[in-house]
Amino acid sequence: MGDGVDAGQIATLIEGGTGSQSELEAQPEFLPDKFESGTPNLSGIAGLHAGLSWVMERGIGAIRRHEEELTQALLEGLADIPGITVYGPRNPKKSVAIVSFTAQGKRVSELGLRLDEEYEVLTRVGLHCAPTAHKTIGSFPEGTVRLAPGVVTTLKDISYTIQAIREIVHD
Amino acid sequence: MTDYGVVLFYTTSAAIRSEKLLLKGGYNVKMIPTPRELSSDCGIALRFDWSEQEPVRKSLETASVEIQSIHRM
Repeated sequence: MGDGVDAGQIATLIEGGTGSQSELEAQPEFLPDKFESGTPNLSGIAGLHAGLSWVMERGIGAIRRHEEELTQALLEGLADIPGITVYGPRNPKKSVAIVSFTAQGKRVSELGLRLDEEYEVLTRVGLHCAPTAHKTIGSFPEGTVRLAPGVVTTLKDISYTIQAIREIVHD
Repeated sequence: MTDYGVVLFYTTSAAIRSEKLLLKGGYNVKMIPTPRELSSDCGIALRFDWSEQEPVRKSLETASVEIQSIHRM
């Protein structure tokens, strides 16, 4: 908090357990104690630091390029399977690494379950708590199967997933 | 093919509680996406072997987990 900030003007979110002025019922008004109640989530903070360091080491640009490459491969692979509808932009540069699809004649819940059980590919199916988004893309109320490649996903994983979807759809 | 039952829930936390409870009880259960033909407020459901229907029902009842319904698949 900057020196020019008047701490008296800012309300506390939580109070108690500052370790100072223990004899008083009231929250201390001085800094930093006023805003440092209780034990901070140290393991959470350490975890966040480790996570961010890992990202900085790899480089956000490199992570993004990797995800674009995977998304492109996923889009191309899915386009090759008859009966598959892909929703959203076909240009990986215009979206995050998420690909939503449905397959003609297959319920999304069945697709998701079979990808999980038979191929160990974890997806999220249905409306993704976003009914309006699904109304916009025209997939309401059935929803879609959502694939989200990430930084540790490989091109090999993508071709394996596409093959798995191909097999399930042909069943 | 195994005869399955599916437990539907109102909340995700009840689903997770049930999974823990039934796994501990040695039942063959698995979290699955709620089958689309069964409508539910909750996106995940719990699948179990229908042959264990009685004890599964009883376990959930004893632990007073709030469930929406149970269906045979």
